[in-house]
Amino acid sequence: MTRRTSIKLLLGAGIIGMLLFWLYRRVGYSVFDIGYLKENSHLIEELAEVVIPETDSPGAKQAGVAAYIIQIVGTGELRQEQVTFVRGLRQIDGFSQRTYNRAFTACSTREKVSMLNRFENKVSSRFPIINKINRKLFGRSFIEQLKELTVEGYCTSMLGATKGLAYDYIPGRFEACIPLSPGQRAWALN
Amino acid sequence: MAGVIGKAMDTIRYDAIVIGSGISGGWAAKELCEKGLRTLLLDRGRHVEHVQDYTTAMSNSWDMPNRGYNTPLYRQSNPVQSLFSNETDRQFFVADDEHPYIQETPFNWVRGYQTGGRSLVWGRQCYRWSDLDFAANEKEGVAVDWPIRYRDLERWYDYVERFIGVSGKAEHLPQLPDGQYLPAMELNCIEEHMASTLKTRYDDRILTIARVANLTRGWKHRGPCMYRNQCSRGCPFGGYFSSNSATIPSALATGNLTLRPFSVVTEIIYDDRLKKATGVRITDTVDKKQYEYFARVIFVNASTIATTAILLNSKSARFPDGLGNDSGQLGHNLMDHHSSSGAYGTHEGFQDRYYKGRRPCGFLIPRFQNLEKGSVEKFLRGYNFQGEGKRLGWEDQASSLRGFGKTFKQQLLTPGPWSVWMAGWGECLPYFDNTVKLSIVHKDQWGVPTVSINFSFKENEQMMKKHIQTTAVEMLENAGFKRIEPFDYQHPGGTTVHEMGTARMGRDSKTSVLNDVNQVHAVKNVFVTDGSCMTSSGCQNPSLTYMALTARACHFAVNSMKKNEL
Repeated sequence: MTRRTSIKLLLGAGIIGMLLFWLYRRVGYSVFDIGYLKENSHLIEELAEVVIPETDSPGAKQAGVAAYIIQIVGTGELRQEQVTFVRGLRQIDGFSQRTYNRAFTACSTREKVSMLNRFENKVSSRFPIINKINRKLFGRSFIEQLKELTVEGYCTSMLGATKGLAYDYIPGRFEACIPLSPGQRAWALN
Repeated sequence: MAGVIGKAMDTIRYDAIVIGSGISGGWAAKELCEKGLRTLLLDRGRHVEHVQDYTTAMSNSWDMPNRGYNTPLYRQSNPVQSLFSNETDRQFFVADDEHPYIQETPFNWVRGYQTGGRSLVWGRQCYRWSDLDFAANEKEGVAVDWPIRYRDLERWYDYVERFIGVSGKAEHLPQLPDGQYLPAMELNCIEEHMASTLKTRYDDRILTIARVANLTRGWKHRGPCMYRNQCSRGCPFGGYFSSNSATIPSALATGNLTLRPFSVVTEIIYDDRLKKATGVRITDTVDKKQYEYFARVIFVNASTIATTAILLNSKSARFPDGLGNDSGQLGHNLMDHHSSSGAYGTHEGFQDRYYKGRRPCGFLIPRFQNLEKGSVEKFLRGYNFQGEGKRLGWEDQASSLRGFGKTFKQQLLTPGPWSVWMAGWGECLPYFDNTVKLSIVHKDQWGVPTVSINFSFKENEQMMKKHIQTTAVEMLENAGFKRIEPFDYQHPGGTTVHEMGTARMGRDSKTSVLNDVNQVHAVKNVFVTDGSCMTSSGCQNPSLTYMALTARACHFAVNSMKKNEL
């Protein structure tokens, strides 16, 4: 190997290394740490409660949705979506600090809803095909994960299924076409 | 020998051996035992005892770690089986990495290796074939003629339906003969609306409730259905038919059955001198040892692809290319219904109506194309529609609801608009080059050559799929649906889980593997009565026909044994 080719190789390796470092910083491709999720369980709880708040029926917080989200993101998702989720937690808190000068959890309900709306509007295109491609290439966005996991976690929890929805454990018979009673909630199992 | 059940466990000689305890093998065991044969029933998987081994049957979603879902990580490690199962029922499906097969072209081979096989998780639809189906190959010069007609099978359909318990409605259609039915389940409001629309707008088609092996009243100490619609977990009420709930208990009750789980049949032993099969060689998956068992007759009911793999692997001087493969047809003509295309729509009416209970089936629009009279299409054969009407629930609504908070929650938890989803279940023609082969190189953990599958739907199926979309959209439009969307999921073969063919019945030993009573042409004491025997695929869900063929073949086999012809 000549001196010149060695220098080229070293230079090349250096550039590739820098690129990788940049990518690593950008994507946040560190070893995934479930501990970070647990440390932020309060933030996750608050986020879920914004999606499904307590009304005349229990909200996401009471239904224990945060634990479900931490369990699925922490142990069941592919690395790409895990990283997206953790990055999303950081981003939303950062955004809250910049905009309202306080942590997300310290904001009012109106402020919280407005922040999540902003995140949702940012990631979803008017063109379904673009959303589809985005999802295929990059997995679900943070806000999509948050929303889907909250809905799943709530509607399949005991409180969500029995108090938020109507739960029929063993129906025993089938009534094919009956009047909808006022205030009828949807079946938890449809 | 782990977990052998029955009296004759120390014996190696039986009157009959049945390979596979799924929907057809269970029937073979029941029939042979009830006719007095000491029968060994082999299954490659673990034993699943009715009720007590349905471990998730009574679980609420919140009782399960992942609430019943497959996580993305689980889907990645089980790419095929996870398409058909989830946390509630995956104990009845294999793990993909433990049971590899080769997909020369994409093909979903769904498997349940346990006592009862896939009868635990089947779709339970029970439709008779008619001569429109049995005579089609002959009429069109496709493949070979079926060696039987409806009249040969009619009383056996009666026989098995009376035992299974099938709920459904007689409709007096020549292309879909009526059977022995328990009271039908009811259509809901939107389905009734569709049915009456079809009645007034079309003279060639109807909409009827699915005919299913779910019991609308108690039947033979089973059921009735509790309308939980959680059948695939195993039903602690015995609300639907499975080998585990019905045929195997009947077989055991005779005292003639020995059930040996954990038994992978590696080959059928053929005696060149006696010119018949004498028994089977198995590998016990627990102690890893080989065993041999012997019997006068052998029923092969391992499921379409597995049965053909066993026959292909049973090589002898007389049959160097696989047992009974004089014709060269063994492993060819693999079929599966396509069910990828259809349409979906929502309806603005009936806002003040709902339902209670979860009916474990949908509706059926029987085949209306290429009948004796009526429309003549560019494609051969035809399809039926299977579908379901319901009010959208939270699972359907979530992805289309924007926003957060009170309004979002309110919309999410309220019954959505009525919707109908329907897809065409279409006939697949038998093509010689849709094949199941054994790999020359790869072997599974038992040393058995790995199965290699090459399958594609072809022009006739593609034409039919387009037609399905058009007719589905038109019917929904006529019924006043809004936001109608045609779809074609383009699922690969195997996805309907109606694998058929590869050891077809026929009149001529030169062009088929089995004769008119499911005997291997050249090995008369071997019977094949699972889906591999099918000469064409019809568009009806096929299990009922396998069961009828099995009962009929058992009747023939025992009569022949009595006459000392076997």
